[in-house]
Amino acid sequence: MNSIAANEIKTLKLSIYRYDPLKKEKPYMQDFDIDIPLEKDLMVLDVLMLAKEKDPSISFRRSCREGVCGSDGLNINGKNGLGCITPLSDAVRSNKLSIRPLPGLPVIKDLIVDMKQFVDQYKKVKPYLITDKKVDTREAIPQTVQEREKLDGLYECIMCGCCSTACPSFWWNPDKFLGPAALLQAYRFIADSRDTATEERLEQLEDAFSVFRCHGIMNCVSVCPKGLNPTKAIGEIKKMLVKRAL
Amino acid sequence: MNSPRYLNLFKIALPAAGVSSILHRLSAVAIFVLSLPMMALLVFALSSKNNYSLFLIIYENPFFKIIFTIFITAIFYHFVSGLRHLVMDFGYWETLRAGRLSAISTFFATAFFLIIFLMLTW
Repeated sequence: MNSIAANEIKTLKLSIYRYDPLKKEKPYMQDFDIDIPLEKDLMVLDVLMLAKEKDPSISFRRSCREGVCGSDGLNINGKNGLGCITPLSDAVRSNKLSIRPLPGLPVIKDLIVDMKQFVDQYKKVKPYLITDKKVDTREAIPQTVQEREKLDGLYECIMCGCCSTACPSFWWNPDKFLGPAALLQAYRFIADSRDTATEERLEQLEDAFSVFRCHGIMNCVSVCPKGLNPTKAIGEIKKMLVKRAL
Repeated sequence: MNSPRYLNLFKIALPAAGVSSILHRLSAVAIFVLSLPMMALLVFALSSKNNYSLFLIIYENPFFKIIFTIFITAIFYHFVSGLRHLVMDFGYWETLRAGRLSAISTFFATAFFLIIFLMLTW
């Protein structure tokens, strides 16, 4: 049977941030009543798709719908997360769901933000292997098990931007403070035994803003959909910078 | 028209460690603003016997007591929260659970201190 009985449905109060650059009006919240089947724990992205059926002009990014591409970073009831892997049972409070764009970044339309500042900071840390050894690119560069284990919890970042856009230091200085995502990647290559540019990487980070604007408030850890810990990585970079200065 | 940025601080959720950090800054502002008047009052009170008697009258004023309580509590909170940050700088309490527990501990320690302080001074 395809139809769902009325007693198997609940109506969710959904509120979505709306902004259209072509209309001369300020951003506003638009309310929807969305019927949700009770037997399933839908994801926030599913609810957005249901809302889009009611109003096709709602704009948001999404792609893989399984927490891999990092496209659908959103502010869900006040907390950043990926719409596709955030179940309603975790997100909804008092039958209400408010969805807003990632904080601090320029809004292009509705829930779509301009990620340029985020990506620019990411580029600065040179997120690729640098080595002065002669490498045959057809062969792997060997690492011990212990050396490889140091990269666990660092390489899994999907660049969704949830962490950096939850960080007040990034809100106030998006051009100077690198942000948790970029710093996690910086440490990912600093900690990599195959990378020989550690000194240059640390030198680039040695100023008052790039790293030291992090005050360890752990918003980044709290929102990371992959369960990573940028605060710990930033702490490691800080320790290396202090040791280097002494 | 410049693109808007969504940044409503009253709608964005903060973990306990985030609240702790904001209070750390607010306590620093309170210490910065109140240190000079409090030091001036201390110098005034210690300058003569008459001035000390005058200080005691000021001290009994409820408004002054509230300001004084805020000042002392801010110093205590800033000290405890600063210790927490120092521990984190040494690489401890950097997990989400430990960060939350240590932040909540600073709140409880400050609340306990405040109760003791109020019992002793009011």
